[in-house]
Amino acid sequence: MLLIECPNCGPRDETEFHYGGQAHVPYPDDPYALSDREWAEYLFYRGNPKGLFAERWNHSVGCRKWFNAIRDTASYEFTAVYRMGEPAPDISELTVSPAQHPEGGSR
Amino acid sequence: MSAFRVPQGGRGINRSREITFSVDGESYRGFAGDTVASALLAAGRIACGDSLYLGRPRGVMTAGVEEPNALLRVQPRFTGDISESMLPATTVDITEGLEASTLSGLGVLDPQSDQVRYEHKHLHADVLVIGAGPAGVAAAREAAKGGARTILMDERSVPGGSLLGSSGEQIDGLDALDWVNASIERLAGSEEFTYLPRTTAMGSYDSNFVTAVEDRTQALIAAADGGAAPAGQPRQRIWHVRAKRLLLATGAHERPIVFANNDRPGIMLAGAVRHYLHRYGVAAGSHAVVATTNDSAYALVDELHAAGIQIAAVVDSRVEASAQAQVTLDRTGVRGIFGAAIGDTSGGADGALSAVTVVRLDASGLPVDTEHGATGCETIGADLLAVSGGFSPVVQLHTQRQGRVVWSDEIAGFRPVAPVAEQAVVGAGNGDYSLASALRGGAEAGHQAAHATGYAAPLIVPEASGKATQAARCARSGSCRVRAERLVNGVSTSSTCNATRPSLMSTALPVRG
Repeated sequence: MLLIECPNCGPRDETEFHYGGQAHVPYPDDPYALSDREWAEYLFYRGNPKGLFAERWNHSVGCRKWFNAIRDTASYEFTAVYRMGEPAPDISELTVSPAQHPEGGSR
Repeated sequence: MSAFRVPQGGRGINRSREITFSVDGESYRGFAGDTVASALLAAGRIACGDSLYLGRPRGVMTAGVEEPNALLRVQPRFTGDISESMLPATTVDITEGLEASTLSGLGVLDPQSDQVRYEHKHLHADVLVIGAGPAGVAAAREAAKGGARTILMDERSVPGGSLLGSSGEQIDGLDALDWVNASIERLAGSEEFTYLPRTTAMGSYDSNFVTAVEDRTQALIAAADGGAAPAGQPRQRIWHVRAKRLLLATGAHERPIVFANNDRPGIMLAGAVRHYLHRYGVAAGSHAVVATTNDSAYALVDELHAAGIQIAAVVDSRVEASAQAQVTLDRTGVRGIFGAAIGDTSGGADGALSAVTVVRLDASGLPVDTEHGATGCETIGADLLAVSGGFSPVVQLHTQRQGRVVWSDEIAGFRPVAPVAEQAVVGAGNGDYSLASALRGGAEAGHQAAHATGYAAPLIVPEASGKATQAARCARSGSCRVRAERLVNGVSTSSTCNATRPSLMSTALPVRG
């Protein structure tokens, strides 16, 4: 079970949180200008990287607030947590600790 | 009390308190501190339930949770209790009036409803140490002394781990087990330290989340005293521990050796024979043969000899005696047979071991073909065969977190490559079998964990001394005479016997502390 650092409440068990998918997907400025394809891509297309990924989390049984986090999808390690509205850290500057990436393994 | 209880030794038992219990309807007596297995061995009974499918006779083989044969069904031990099945006899303490029956690999569920309470607890810790052997205790000492909240959990009822099955080792000038007990007693005085005996860590998850089950059955039996257990007291407790640092000091399990009929009652792991001798004061047999691939069994040879038990031979798969082997054989006068292995065993009417057949090994480590002239067989009478095929580090909690392991020729086993983030693997679980290296690895890991969690304190590494340390010194100096007796009289020792035997994993292990 992951230990997740809520920006308001501190480290709490994963079971207290709700996952909210990829963060920083902006609502289109003019939805009516989009083609069907562009609209579908906005609705359904999300990044699926192996490595660091910005995502939304909701501390649903705690402060009930949404926040953003950078998490490594291979090791599950949280490398940054920040509040809604705060700028995202530059993923290229965040480093993954080598110990979290043992060679091989299934995830 | 019985022929198999040695007059001296047995620091885990209280000889002034006798306990009567029964197995399969037959009454036995043992001492407080005995397990069912040790009390049966003391009474001269080694046989347990037959094998499941073929009904082959089986006997007690180990002295711990790794026991494959001696499984029990235990009748209710207090009011409201139910009968439990599939309990290893090596882990069930005898209690007054205990009624047990041996099982052949299948348990029976009790249809009664269990009236006893079970509970779970959540705990946050700075440092969690799993395993209270020498490495784990050294780690807990260093971790706790700066004030870090430290938990030390161990599956056995008493601390000490491998030290429970050894003698003559010293740590910081004290007897090794006295050092362990004194360490835990001192730590128990500090507010942030918790020692959980009879607690088996059973899962290791992300962010150092560990689940463990604590067995409090013995406490309930003691409190019930033949009546009902006190209300509200749990029989088992599941611990959910979230630790900032996790130190795995899980030790190593001894491996058996493969040969025909290696499952007879009377064939035991060498480490288990030592364990019964030192912890329970029980000799598992009266005429022993020791079969080994490494040095660790020679401590047993020394100790059985000192306890007055006859040792017919030591059968060693290695071509020549190691320095330690030679010292032991010279001192005890026991016959060493090198470049050989057990080929088969024979048993009496009850299937229990009566003799072993020793075969010479050829250059590839295979038994010499006896049908083509090269007589390589010898039969030796024995009622106890102690086998040691080396040790395997207990790495399950490490690998559950995707920690990798790699084969090591040095220890002839899989050992962790590197610890998982915010963890450490120390002692025999990391392949560090000598007492000194286990203490050093444990103390350093404990020190680093204390530092990382903000409770740094100066590092003090406990110092090991004793016979194992002396043997290592002797081996290094090379001053010990090396000589090997060949198995078969009249058969010349061909040069091919000097080849290595990868198939038998014959390796020079240091004595496990």
